[in-house]
Amino acid sequence: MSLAKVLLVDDEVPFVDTMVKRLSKRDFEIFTAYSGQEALDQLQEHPSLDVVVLDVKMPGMDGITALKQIKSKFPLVEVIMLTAHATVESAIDGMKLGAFDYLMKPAEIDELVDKVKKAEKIKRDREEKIREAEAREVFLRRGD
Amino acid sequence: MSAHSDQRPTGIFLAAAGLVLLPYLGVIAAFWFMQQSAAPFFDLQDNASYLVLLALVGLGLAGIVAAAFMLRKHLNREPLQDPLAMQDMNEQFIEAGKMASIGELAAGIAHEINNPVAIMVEEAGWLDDLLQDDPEMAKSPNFEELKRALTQIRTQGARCKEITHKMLSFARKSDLRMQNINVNTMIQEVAALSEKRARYANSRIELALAQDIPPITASASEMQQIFLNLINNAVDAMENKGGEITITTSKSKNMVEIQIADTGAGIPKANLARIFDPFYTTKPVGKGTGLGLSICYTIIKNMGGEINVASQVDVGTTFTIRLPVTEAKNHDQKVAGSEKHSQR
Repeated sequence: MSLAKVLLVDDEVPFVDTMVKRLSKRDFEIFTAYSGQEALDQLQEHPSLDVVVLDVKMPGMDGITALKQIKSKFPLVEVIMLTAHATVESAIDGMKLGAFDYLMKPAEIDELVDKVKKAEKIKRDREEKIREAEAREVFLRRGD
Repeated sequence: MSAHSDQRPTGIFLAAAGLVLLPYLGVIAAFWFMQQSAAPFFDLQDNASYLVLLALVGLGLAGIVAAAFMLRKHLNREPLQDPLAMQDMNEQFIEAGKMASIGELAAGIAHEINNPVAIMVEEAGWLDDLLQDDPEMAKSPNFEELKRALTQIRTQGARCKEITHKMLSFARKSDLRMQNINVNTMIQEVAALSEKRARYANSRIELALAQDIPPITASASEMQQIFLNLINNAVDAMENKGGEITITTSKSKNMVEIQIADTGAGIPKANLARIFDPFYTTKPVGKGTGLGLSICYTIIKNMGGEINVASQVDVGTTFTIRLPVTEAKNHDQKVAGSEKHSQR
């Protein structure tokens, strides 16, 4: 059984290719996008995506802009920022906008896997709470 | 530069006095000449009187022009001709410009290098994954050698990352935008950022911020980096059993004191002396670079401050930072009052 559905967004094609192999091997179901806009299209097409691993610096729509749009259109999806720019500023900007965490390139695969699992758990817990709340509402409505 | 500047007001005063006095002197001289002359003043037949009067008016006009010229020179041109002043200013501009462009270059290079390095490290990791998966490969006489080479590629990749990190740290140092930082506000911001992570580790962040903490002079991004590093470390230390992080601020003499205390696993005495060493980490491989505290230490020392640690195994760890207060006379920044916030 696959652990989580992860969308990997980076304009560095060889990086994405290798990460797909490595994360798939660790039982994640991986989707890819090479720009912010492609990421939004993928999320639209696959609403069951759990976690987005998002590069900060990309041509066209950059990671921070993409993050803003992801959080406004798909608020339940958790985002992990991945930056080659080893400054905390962009990562802090990302976290202020609701990203779950950040990682600096080159990142250790185990660290990335760990963060993806944590992000997925948070998303699952939140979904569960929403389901419970909805069930309670249906129950109360029937009681009327 | 000061000696040259001192001469400037004197020159301006003389020029201004000349501009005002010279026309009067010309008029007084003309009247004096009229009184001395036997001939009537307007008798233009007297060529000598006419010429003398004309010469005096000419002299007066020349005096006014000369004084105006001097005044203009002193007001506008003198500073530009002051070689020492020019040299000082040029040096400052060149230095600032040089540092800014080196900083920009370093940040650009760091980014460009990190991407290919990340690809190399991931490819090495992928080969390692394949090696571990293939039972036939494990029997190969070259298996151990291949493993060693792959580990070396990853180690060197991590080294590249540290180098680029240092380049960026340098770029930040060249950022001359040192500013007055309100420590309490910054701690509140960083604590809010770490709240989610702390909650996930079953931890809570308590703030006990003293009133009237004066501002410090620092780079905001460096201060954020310090607080984020220390809070993240504290969260990591409590990851297994959860606990409490207490951040306290106080003022002692001309220093601001910040304490970040956790109730985590603590640091064994043998490790305490080494925790600020670069690349020293007790975290499992892949969990930490061993640079966080070393970077904090360097930034704080560069600011003229100090950082100390006290720890007891199974009780917790307290980091104490002391940073010098901004010396400026007019810091009227409002500091958040003494509050006890819960950032659960």
